[in-house]
Amino acid sequence: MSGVGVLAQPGGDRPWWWVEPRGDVSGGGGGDLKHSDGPWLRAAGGVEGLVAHLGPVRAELGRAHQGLTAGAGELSALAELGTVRASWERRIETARDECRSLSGKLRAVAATQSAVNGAVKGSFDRVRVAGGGEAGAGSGAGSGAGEVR
Amino acid sequence: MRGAGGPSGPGALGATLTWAKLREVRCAELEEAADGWGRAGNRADAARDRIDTQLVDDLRRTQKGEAAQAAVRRLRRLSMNFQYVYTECGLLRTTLNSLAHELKAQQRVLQGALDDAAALKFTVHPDGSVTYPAAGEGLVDGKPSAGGRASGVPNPGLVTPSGLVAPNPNAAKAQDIADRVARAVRTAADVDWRYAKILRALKAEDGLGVPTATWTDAAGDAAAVRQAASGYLAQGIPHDASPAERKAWWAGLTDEQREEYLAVYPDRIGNLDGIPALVRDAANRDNLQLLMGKLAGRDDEDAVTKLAALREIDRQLRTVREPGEPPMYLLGIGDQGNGRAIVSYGNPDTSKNVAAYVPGLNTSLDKEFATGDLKRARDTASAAREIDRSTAAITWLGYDAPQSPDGLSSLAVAGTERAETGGHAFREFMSGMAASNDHDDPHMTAIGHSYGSRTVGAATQQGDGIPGIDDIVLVGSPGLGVDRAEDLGVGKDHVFVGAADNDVVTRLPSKGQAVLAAAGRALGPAGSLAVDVVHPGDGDLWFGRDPASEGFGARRFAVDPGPPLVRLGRPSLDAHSQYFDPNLDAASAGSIALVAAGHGNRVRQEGAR
Repeated sequence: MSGVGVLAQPGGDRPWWWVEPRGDVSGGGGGDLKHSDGPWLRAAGGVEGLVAHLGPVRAELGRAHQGLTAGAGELSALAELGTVRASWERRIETARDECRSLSGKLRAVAATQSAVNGAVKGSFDRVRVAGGGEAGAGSGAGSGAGEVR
Repeated sequence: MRGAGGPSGPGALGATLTWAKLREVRCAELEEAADGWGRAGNRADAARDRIDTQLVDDLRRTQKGEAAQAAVRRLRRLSMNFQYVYTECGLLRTTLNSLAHELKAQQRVLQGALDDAAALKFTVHPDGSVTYPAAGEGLVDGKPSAGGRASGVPNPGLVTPSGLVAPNPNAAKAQDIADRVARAVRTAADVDWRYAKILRALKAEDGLGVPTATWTDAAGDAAAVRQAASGYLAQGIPHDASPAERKAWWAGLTDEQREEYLAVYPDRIGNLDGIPALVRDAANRDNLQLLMGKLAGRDDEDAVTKLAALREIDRQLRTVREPGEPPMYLLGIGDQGNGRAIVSYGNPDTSKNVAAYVPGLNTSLDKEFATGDLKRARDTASAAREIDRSTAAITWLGYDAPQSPDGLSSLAVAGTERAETGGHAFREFMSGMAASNDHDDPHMTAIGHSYGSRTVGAATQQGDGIPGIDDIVLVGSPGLGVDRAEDLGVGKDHVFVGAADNDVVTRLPSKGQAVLAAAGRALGPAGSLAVDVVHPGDGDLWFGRDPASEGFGARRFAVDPGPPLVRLGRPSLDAHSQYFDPNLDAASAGSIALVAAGHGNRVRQEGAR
């Protein structure tokens, strides 16, 4: 965190990727905020943006470690680093998958906005339950409430 | 994450690492890898920020209903995931940088020894032993003493000298070189082993969720990395400098350095007076997760109490603000002592008016604080910002206020030590606020409630008083250890006092036996005893002169008398607790807001007691 360009609430400096909310990002319908498809499509677009934003992580990490395997000799710390790196690359990919899935759901809401609200909730909740058990090995004890907020 | 507890110890490695291998380790490559983790962490942080500040806000503001709630839940989980990734990537980055830092130190030791060997034309062998040529004069025949071979000892101090002095002067030099080589190799092997263990613990958990237990592990990871990296990073933090110097220190760091400090020491940077508010807020929000994880790993009463407070603060930080509501900044957080929390409503760096409220008796980091005491600053900020938009109000729990498990009698024995200690901390904090404020001469107000006014009083008497302060508000004050308003350093017209008729803390029994009797009934024998003992004369309170008295000379503003001390046969201290409440005491809350907004001259004055 640069601490300057990053702020967790509106009203301060915006990070580089900030796009002022507009009424419609799909190209049609004009910039009318009352049009309630806007937020859903914006959210879908934003989440898709994260898929791209996180795309380079694996390659960047690969490049950053390139010299290491050749140059740092026989440190045992480096033997660990390979496994560590693989675990984080997996986690980032899992997050990208979630972004893709979420973006589809958000678009679906925009498309079926007029449908019954409850039906959409069902769609979310099914996915949520499917992904809910991935807390990871050894982390279950004593971690009841407040895990996902 | 928990480390798997690897089998290899330093002994096993010490056997395999040679000086030639140590020399070949390219630390620059380690640092490059560290940079890679920094970049990955930054991407995760930006992703989290985008979700929190844009996507979630947008949906919450515009959409109602279960679909929106379900979407926000999934976005929140994703955001929490990115925060976890950011935290751990930051730890990985510093682990690698610190590893490089420590290995470089040993490489320097090694190189020094090799250079000396080369200069003396000694030979350093692959096993670290050093051969030297013949030199000196033999004791018997006068011929040069024969050359030889010295084997290094990693811990020379443990080897007892034999008592025999070799006649060849090269022997001692060779031994010294061999020892230095052995020591460098041995130390590097230890370093390698230590960092391998830390790295092993920094593996990602599978999946996307970040349950509490994962944060508990992350807090453990952070502690381990901080300890390992203390030689590399922590020494750079200017704890002993002035807030203005710290501000300059921070401004002079590179982006990479700032990122690293924030990742590894969010606890220190977040609580460092002089650092910009936005930076403190970002650091403390990260540290808040780690603190909650740490406390969740304990089940004692203290941890449970503090955790409840932190969860409530976390909830408020994540709540989407209504239009016009002041934004919230976490300027300090900690679990030491009775707990620490400093929360600003409104940006204290960009605001022209900055008011800080010091809470008093019985305040600690618990759920009541997180709701009630924070609300006081929030209410003050909301009202003050209607007068001047450029106003921030802060709740400052930066000290251990006295606790009174047995009622007000504790106030008498609370003494002044905590006020004095708290006063120093408060002065430092206000000095930091003055240093990081963008305005040339911001208007600053200190508000003391209850024992907090004693703390403010102490601060005014230390050194040059409270830095940058223009106005002082004292409510529910048991006295502040200063007898005259003009001695507070802001001019007596800038000292404002609110004292409710039924607030027993501000009203001691010398004024009337009825109150004494009521206080006695409300507080029990211990209370009335304390009242008798502490209170020597007219116009005096627990801690010196009553600031609402004429002799004190402050401007007293109107307050609601509050509920009677004894109501329906039960003791009530409610009159002590409603000064900030716009619903229960609009006159008092309004006056406090006027002063905070820099319009103290408009406060309607009422006669002294």
